[in-house]
Amino acid sequence: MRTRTILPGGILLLVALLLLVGLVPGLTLAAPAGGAKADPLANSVCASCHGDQAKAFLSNPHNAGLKAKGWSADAVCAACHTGGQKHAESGGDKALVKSLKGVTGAESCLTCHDRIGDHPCSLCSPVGAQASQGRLTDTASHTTGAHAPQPAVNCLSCHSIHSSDFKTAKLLVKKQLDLCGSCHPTVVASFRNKPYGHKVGRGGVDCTSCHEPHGRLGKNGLKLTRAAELACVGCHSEKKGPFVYPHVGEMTGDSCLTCHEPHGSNNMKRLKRARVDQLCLECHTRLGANVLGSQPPSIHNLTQPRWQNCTTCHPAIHGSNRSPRLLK
Amino acid sequence: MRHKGLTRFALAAALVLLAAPAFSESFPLDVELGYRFVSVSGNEEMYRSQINEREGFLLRSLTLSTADFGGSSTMFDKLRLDVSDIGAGPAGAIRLEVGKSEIYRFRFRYARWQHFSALPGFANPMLASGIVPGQQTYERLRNVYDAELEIMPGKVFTPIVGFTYNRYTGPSNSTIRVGEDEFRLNQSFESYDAEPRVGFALNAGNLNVNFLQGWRKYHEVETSVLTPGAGAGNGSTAILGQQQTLISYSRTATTDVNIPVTTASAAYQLGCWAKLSGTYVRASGMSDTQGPTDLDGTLVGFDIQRFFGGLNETVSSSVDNSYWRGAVRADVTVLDGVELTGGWRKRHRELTGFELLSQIFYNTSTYSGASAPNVSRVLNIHNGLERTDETFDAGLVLRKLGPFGLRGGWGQTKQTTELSEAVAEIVVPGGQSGIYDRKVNTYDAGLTFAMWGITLGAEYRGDKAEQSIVRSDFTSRNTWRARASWDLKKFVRISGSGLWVEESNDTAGINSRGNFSQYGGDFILTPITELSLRFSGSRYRADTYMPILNPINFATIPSAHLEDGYALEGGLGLNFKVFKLEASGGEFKNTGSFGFKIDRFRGRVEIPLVKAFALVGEWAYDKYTETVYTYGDYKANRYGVYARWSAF
Repeated sequence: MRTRTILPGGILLLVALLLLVGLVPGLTLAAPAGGAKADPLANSVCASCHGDQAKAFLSNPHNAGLKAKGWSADAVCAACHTGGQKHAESGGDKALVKSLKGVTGAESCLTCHDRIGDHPCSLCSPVGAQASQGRLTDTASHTTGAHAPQPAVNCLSCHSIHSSDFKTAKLLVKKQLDLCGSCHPTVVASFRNKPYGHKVGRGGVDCTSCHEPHGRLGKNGLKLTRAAELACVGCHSEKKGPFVYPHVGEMTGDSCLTCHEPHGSNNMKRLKRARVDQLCLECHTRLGANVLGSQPPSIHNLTQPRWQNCTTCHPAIHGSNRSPRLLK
Repeated sequence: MRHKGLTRFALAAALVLLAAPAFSESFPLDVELGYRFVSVSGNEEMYRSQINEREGFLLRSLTLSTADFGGSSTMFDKLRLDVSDIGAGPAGAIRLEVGKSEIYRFRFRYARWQHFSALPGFANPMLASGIVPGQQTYERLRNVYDAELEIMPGKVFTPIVGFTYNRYTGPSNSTIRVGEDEFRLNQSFESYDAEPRVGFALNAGNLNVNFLQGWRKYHEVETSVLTPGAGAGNGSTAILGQQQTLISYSRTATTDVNIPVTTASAAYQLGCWAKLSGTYVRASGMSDTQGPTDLDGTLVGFDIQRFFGGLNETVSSSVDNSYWRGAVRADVTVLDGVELTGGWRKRHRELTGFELLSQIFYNTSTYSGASAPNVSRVLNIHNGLERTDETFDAGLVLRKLGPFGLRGGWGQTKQTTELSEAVAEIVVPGGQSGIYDRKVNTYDAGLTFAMWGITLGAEYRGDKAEQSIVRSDFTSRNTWRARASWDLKKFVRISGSGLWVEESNDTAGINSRGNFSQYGGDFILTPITELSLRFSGSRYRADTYMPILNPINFATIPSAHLEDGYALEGGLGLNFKVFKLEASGGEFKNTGSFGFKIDRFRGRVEIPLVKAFALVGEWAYDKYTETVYTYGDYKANRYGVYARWSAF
């Protein structure tokens, strides 16, 4: 088979151009000519003591979202850290200012991030426009989902408002794979320790490509597409169908997982069994009560490799528009 | 083609590196760019099937993120750009998110995957004679683009426009059964899945409504021709005294799918104590396939009871697909820290398939050798599927019981699948049509504890069903999870977790059982800021059993699958001003039904040179060995040299 290296130069060129366009003063991103930026912290009481944190917070989306609505720097701090004025007047008594930790700290986050209605932030709409990202309202919840805030795991276990990793989006404490792995180490280990699995953490796929971290309980918080299908077919669209002759996925539900183990498998096609014929015959055996699944005819000699690999002859295993036996 | 891509990449890389220092004067930026060398000994196709990291230029990562424009920006007040592993692949992504408060919000995502599969043991009828790889192989490239623009986000009315495009192309090899033999094919596959969409979000006080209408269009063309030199087929024995040969084979199959997708949801905040929400999704449409086939050869067809020398086949098929999903839910805050949730959802799918197959067999002769007329055959097949799932669930979450958190829930799912029989499908009667029902009750509970740096968690989930739809369905499944961690300041972290699953189906004739366990622990030691050490170990065991029928004599035989593996890993990190070092190594061994061993080492050193500029060297080593066969064994070294600009 021919091998080749494909370089997406066009896309990268666009990225480079975006960076360069960003340097044009006044047009987009760059600071005004001469570098004379107005000091946004000039009159901030908070910044007079917490200068480094206040400066770092200028590039935080929370700051931008509130500032655009005319909030002062101190008011932005006080949005979460109530009692700031008394704290400042006392000369820095920590007991007087709200420190966001644990489940009580998470309550402050939910004030905005779990509420429908008027919202002080102008940058995002926390519960709006989520359906477009496949996050159906009934499938995710901050308060009753699998990661609902509680002492052991809460908003601040995964998100750090002041010291998130710069290289991670959503103000995550660290890279997604490391973060999820701190509580689910054996799941993350499956990607490393099995020969066949998704290439997670290196480009296209992350834990949240398939899982909704704020998802409700059940089905391991799997994401759905806009059409309410499993996230698998969001990428593997050619297996989505509909087919004249559908196979397992369309008969027993949206269950790619009936046959596949996405986290890492010993089987070359990420199947749940090492040998293909085992997996197929566990359903395609006419033994037992009224169950769905045909019986292969007696030409199938399991002692030969040809017949151990059902897909030698049945390559259209995900569904076919031409062959009822999924032969092509 | 490659030169063009290389030139573009080099030009873009130079621009990125030139732009980086100037850009990072004002805005936080981290970029890493360089070249990766690859050296593989052993089965390179297996390496490519598993890892597929190729030699070439690589934009390892780029992150630009800011919401601080010093009041000078007119177009943005938030920008985040993330790029990872674009270039030599095999998987890379670009994510861009920009916005201007109350004006717009734009998201763009691009992802690409280079898929390769040429596995020795998969779909390989020649494995016993030592011929590798298998006959189902492919090299494909997937490019996914997704863009969405929200206008006036957070305002009462927010229009939304989006577009998704998923293109999947590349060559492959497959097989086709013609007459009474199978032949290798060279294939070319090209597909795209495009969906433009428009909609809106309505934020009216305590009511939030989202509506999106998309139009999904999928187009696929697959062409197949006989692999040069494969005309003798896989079978070597003559059938009825005649060798089976194929002189030519060509097929072009075109599939078009048109499905409008409607997504609507509404959520209403009732005071500060309840939230009501509802969702409706409808995705109904049509699929059409056309696929003419022409072939010539010397073949035998048992089904037409003739020898034949050619076949012309036309296929015209279509699917009418109707799908909807509806759900309603209430989340109620009973007391501070006490949440109740309850919901109902239903989805329904109806599929009607139709195929018109027309075949003409040319140059036919009887088994005795007498010349016979052409055989014409027309099949008109109808197929039907109807499926309904309905789920009720309720749950309780107690979030503030001192150091404890507690939750519990119950759910019930009713599934009904009805299939009508396609006559052409029946080979051995039974199990191909009818109505199949299933009801699954699910119970789950979880308890967590956090205090003094100790975190504990335990979960249980039980699924009980009274019957199964397919044989691999369970009737009873119990899942336990446990995890614990102890953090001593920032110096020590010890953690462990485990997952245990046991499932069974006691239905007479099925009698299946399966046990899975996976548990492990991590130990992280950070004695000083500049040094961290990590050790981890885990075990994995899967053991399943189910009786199956051996098709050749219909004898009952066991289908037993066993995996028994362990992983040991260790690593260290050194972080000094003059250099940074990360190194790790580990091994995983599985002694189950499919034994193998993976040895893996990683190393990365970063040496700061001037200002924010550093030189990075990376090394990755993988050794893969299988217990029974050695066809797939390989050793792979990758060496990367990267320049890093990091200012944030």
